Amino acid sequence: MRRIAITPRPDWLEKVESVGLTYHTINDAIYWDESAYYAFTSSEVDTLDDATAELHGMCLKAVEHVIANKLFSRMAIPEGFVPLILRSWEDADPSMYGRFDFCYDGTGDPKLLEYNADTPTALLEGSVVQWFWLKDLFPSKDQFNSIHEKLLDFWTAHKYAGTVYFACMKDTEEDLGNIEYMRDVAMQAGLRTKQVFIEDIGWLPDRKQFVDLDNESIFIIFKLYPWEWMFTDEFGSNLMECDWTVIEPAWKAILSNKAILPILWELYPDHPNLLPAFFENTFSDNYVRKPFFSREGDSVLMVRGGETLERPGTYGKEGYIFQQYHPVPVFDGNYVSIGSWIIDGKPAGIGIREDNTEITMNTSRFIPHLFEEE
Amino acid sequence: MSKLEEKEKRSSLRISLVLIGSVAFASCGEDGTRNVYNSQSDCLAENSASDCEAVSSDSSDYSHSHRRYYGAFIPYRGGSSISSLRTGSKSVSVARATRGGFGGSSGFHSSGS
Repeated sequence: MRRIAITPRPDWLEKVESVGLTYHTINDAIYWDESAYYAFTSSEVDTLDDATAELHGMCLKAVEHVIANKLFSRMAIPEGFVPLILRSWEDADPSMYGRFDFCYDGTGDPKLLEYNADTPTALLEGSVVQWFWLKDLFPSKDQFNSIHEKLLDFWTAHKYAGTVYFACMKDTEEDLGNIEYMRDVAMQAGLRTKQVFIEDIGWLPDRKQFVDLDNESIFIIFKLYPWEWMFTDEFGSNLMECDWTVIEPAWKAILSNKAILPILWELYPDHPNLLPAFFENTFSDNYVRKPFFSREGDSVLMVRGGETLERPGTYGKEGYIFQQYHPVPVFDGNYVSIGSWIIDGKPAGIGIREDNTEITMNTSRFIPHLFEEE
Repeated sequence: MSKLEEKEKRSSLRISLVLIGSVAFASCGEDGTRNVYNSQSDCLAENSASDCEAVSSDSSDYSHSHRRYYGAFIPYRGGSSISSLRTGSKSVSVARATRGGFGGSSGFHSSGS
């Protein structure tokens, strides 16, 4: 795994915007950064592929474990929504995707930092933008990226009857970019689609249905909005009355919760892809405290070598987990993490993020990659 | 698996987009409601044919004895519902949705992770 500096394409801005990446710059700082790329060997890609597949299987076992041992309160999942989660699991409601975030520098085993199982983003850039970058600059090289094909396969295989709604919050350009890409793929699979903002979803008590702005019932929805927020929203109680298909399904609320990390460690102690993690702080130094529910690195506290790095935030009232600190790889002064996609149960590709600090945030730069046969 | 199959597994062979790049992102509509009528003829008396839509059988507005119909979409204005029920209207009910019940927990954070 090498970081290679390169001159960006002269028309890179027009090129990335032409495929929907309008959020290439966030808060006046570059987000899509093609001033460098990462080169992997095929065996390094094998390592990431294998770790992703194995962790996916372990996570499904962990869901079974949580359900069998009724660990919901330990994970701060409200009791009232447990039947919804159980029903989605028993009905085998399909999961489309998730993203494992790894600490990996090309040596040793990838270590799981966290699993974004419910609302992973950086999808468009991982699937489309870096693929076109590769075709422009290195058409004879390869990339660990079959995200688009696997998404298309998913939508094609699950021939949902009726309109599939795609929902995110208003005023979130990145989220809208992600759902519009997903909607694009679903349309290519022959599905009828419609976009709706989360805030515009209505509830018709007579029908016991969520509806769009035309009062049309929403029977199938892909939502880029976390389950834990839906549970606590005003409409949360209606979730128990409504019969609709939600992607990602409710059982993903178990895996998108960082409390799954100590549960995985308990089930698979010393697993090479896991870091020791606990509900109580057993570390005196070199650990990371993460809220059960946290996004964009907010409210994360890192203690290493007696020094503390803390990101401000409002998360944490539900509880924290404590994970052993693992040095984040540094390439040319940049801290690097690798997001590895699982789609319909299969490893599908990676996206690289760089930051000036060890805590990855939503503004962490996205860097393209390629790999070469050895 | 052969080298070629392995390679095909690893990388998308072709990517095309049908929505992105051709259509600007847009809001999908506005808040509103629809009247419900006991018959198609009642609905047509106050709405155009293209606006009259049979109530689906899974709706509580559906009656097994006879089919009911939704009328035209009536937008809310200024955040409140404007009644469109004229004197002598043949409509039997107004389907009313409450909105804004999702989104409150975000605390202005992005939903992505």
